[in-house]
Amino acid sequence: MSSSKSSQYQSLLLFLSLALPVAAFATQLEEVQSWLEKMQRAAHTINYEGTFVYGQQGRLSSMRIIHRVTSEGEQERLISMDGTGREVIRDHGKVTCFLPDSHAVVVEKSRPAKHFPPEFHMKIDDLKDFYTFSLIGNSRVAGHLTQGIKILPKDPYRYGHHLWVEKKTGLLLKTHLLDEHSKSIEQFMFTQVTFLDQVPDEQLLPSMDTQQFTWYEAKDSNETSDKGEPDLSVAWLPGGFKEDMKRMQKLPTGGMPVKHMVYSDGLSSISIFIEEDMKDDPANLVGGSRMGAINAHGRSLGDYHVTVVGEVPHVTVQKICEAITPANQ
Amino acid sequence: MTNKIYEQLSILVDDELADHDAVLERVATDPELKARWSRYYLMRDVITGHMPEQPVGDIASRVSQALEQEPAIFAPVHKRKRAKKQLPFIMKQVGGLAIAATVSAVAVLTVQQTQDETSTTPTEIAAVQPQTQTQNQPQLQSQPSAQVRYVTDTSGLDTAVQSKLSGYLVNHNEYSVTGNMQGVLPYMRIVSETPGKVVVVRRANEQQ
Repeated sequence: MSSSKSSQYQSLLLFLSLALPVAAFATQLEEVQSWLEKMQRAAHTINYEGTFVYGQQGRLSSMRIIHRVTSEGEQERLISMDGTGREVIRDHGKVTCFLPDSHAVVVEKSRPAKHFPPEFHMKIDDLKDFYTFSLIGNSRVAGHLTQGIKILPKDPYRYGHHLWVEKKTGLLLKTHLLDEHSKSIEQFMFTQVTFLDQVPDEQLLPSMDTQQFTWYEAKDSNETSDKGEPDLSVAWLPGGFKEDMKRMQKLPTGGMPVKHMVYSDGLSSISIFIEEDMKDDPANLVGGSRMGAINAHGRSLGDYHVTVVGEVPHVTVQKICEAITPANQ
Repeated sequence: MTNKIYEQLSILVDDELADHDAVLERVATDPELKARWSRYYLMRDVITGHMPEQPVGDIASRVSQALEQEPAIFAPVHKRKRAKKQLPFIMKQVGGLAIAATVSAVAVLTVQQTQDETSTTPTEIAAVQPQTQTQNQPQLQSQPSAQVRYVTDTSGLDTAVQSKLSGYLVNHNEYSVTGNMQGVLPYMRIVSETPGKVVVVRRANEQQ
């Protein structure tokens, strides 16, 4: 009797010891999911103004950001506080880059917003084959209490993320982008942030006089080059990467129609740009390049030039670039 | 007090400072600290084989200049009374002579870097490929024993290339999930004038 009871207890204990970690794990994944959703919602729905530091490769820059939401949508302004004072303003379906160093203003179209705020499509259940997700406790950033979240890749084709999300609002206050050895390669951190009820209009206007600047504006393009739309296929992508979007367009500064395709696993993404290869165009990237945590790789392929760009390790853009082949071969 | 912040700075460069936010904030607001920070990074980058911002010919003079200005880093260890783990990176690695040797090695390496290897692919990575739609890619298997690493070259990108890439980057930001999640934030790379760098592939068994 007593022995059977004790064996019952033992099996109960065994059951609990096996089941509890699984349950805790599931709960933590759900918690991470809801934090990421909250973070994404906050990025699009909160009025705020703040100063942050951006660091990569030993370079530090300081920037100011202003974000406003009205019935007409979102408006955002990013201003460099050092260097030549570049600015980027996003509003009314446009991205305007003010580049005083080259006396230029470049205007691009924003991705058309089907929903406001944008929907959050990422399901971390679908991503757990490729990343591990964990909550890593609370700390303060710019005086605000934050929830820490760690996202680590399981293969060398994606970066990891260490995120600090403000507890009340969900605003992302700090990130470290981690390489495959979990070393931080790019950092972003607010040093001051203020949540606002209202943002005056003048806060969202460029601070510089652009009369002497050259303006370049992008057009969506249905036209293709003489050779028609490039028919190339992508023979290799990291696990979980799927096509997100493709379109033809013209870059504001160049005349050639460009085919732009985006592939993503839901968290990391890469863009492939294909345009007709104007022989010896010195502006084409041949080989590898990096800009902060952005890697790019380009090569000539028959009549086309292919460039792969993404916030992923260099090996990923290089492998994808080399795996692009003419569709019929 | 000043020495303490310098010490924290050098540990920060080594990514081993637990509470680096306070130091980062000071660095952001103090030009002298900012300059010092970049010198520490220069030395670390030279030692680890990552290329610094300056042209090749300038590395040696930059480093020796930096060394002259940085007696604190090479101060005797016992004065610091730090846990071993927290020693500055440079102390753990080598003394001044070894640094000089590294500098010349790196300089030679850089001069000999070429762009003729863009078709190689890391094989330590190939070993763990969870490939989804692999077709035959003979070039991926052609160098089974090669250790490959990506080196950021000292040379900046050509202005025309950089400008075209920036255009691509804006489009990538707008149409990718990252932009969807973070709005204008990914533009910090453009606003900060982060320079585009050439990345070259190097195989460890390569004879140069």
